Amino acid sequence: MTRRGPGIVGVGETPALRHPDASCTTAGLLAQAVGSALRSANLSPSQVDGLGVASFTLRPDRAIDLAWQLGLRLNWCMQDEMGGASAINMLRHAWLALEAGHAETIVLVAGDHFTGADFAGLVRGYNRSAQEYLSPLGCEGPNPLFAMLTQRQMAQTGLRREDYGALCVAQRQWASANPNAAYRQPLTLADYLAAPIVAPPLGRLDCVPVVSGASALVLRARPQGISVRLIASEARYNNDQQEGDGLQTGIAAFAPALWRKAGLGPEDMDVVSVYDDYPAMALAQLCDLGFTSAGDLPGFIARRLTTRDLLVNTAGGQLSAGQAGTAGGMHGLVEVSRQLLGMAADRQLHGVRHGVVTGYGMVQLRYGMCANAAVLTQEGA
Amino acid sequence: MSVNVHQCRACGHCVYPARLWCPVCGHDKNQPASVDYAELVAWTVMPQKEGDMAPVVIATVRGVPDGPVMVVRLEEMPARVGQRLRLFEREMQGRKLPWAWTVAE
Repeated sequence: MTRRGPGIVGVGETPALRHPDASCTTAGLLAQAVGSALRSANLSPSQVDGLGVASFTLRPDRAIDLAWQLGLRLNWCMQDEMGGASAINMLRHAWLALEAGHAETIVLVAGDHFTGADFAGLVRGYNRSAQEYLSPLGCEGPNPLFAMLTQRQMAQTGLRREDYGALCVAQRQWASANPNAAYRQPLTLADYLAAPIVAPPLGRLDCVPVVSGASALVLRARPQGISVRLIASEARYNNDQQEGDGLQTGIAAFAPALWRKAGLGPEDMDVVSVYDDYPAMALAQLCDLGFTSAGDLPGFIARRLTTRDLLVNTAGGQLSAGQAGTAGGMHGLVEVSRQLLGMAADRQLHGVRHGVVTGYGMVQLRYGMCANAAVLTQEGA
Repeated sequence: MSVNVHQCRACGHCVYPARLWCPVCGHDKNQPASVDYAELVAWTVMPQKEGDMAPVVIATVRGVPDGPVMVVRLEEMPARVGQRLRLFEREMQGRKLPWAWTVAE
């Protein structure tokens, strides 16, 4: 029998905290997520020899400082600051490291602890163009940029606010079964439409709630029992030099290669996670992956998302579960892995074998410039 | 009245704000080029903060005739996508930043 390759063997996540207490720290949240992921894999910290960390607020500490704080001795260590694209970026690197024999057991963790001032400072000075051009102009944070992108998507596709609302309502229904989600109470379309307009056409419920929290994943070079295998992954960074329209993400450029390498197509996916910083971007990515076309988006939402015919963002996505900074991309990767590992307890979906996860983000000027995706499959014992 | 954008000395491609190398040809030298007019691509309004005299209207515009696409501040609410705008620079927080007026049609 041929030796199987690496596998994802455990996941962990902290609750998404809207109002963490004074003792909460970024390192503490990351440690909590790592601890819970290791317990889920029945492993101890002494077995870990690789660590990947994504965080905006761990500074001035870095991945190696966290390793020291956690008492980990490592053969492999990486740091990633690509926000919504960090989780899959780290997964791709970790996978190669395990295949190459650079490590046996790698933990990937992402998360942030925000005070209001931390978050305002982060978005205002997110990168040089935000700091020197957009913020001084009065265009602060991602909301106005994605408001303009949403306006263009509505013009292109015929989507109405009610359609975006239907997506938000569907995700809230998923969140109701996720004990870690920031918002679990039912949401109606009327609630969505009644929420204050933040930057037209975006209302408050189109914008992810900022929370503090962390998510983690454990990978092993030679997993025992059930694990999750990465069967294909692709990425595009700065794909269009920010000179396209942003309605199409880098995923569109790699989707044919992704499915070809996976030997599977969108129709084979049992569970899906698309990076939902805004409803418009979740929909753009579903189009880019080939689940639907821009011309059929309103019908697609009604037929496949609100009915749960297609299982998308099954932990509530960031729109309901919350966006804990760089944990945003890891949230979706953890949820799909959790479902494929059969570790979702009360909200375990049945008969799920294959899943796809996307990462998106790092806004430069007008929209995100990073896009990546991973196709995962359940591997039996 | 115009906005100064950055034109590649080798291929003529315009960008705003400046980059280190031209995204089209990779050349590392550029020259200022002025763009007078733009076309409205999309717009939004920021939540009003204490001290704001008027709504902060942010727009994505495409310089006419050859770009680039920029995020600018508008003097007033626009009427429709595709409308013509007059570009100008205003000093804000010590930087010259791109603004636009709507042009009567």
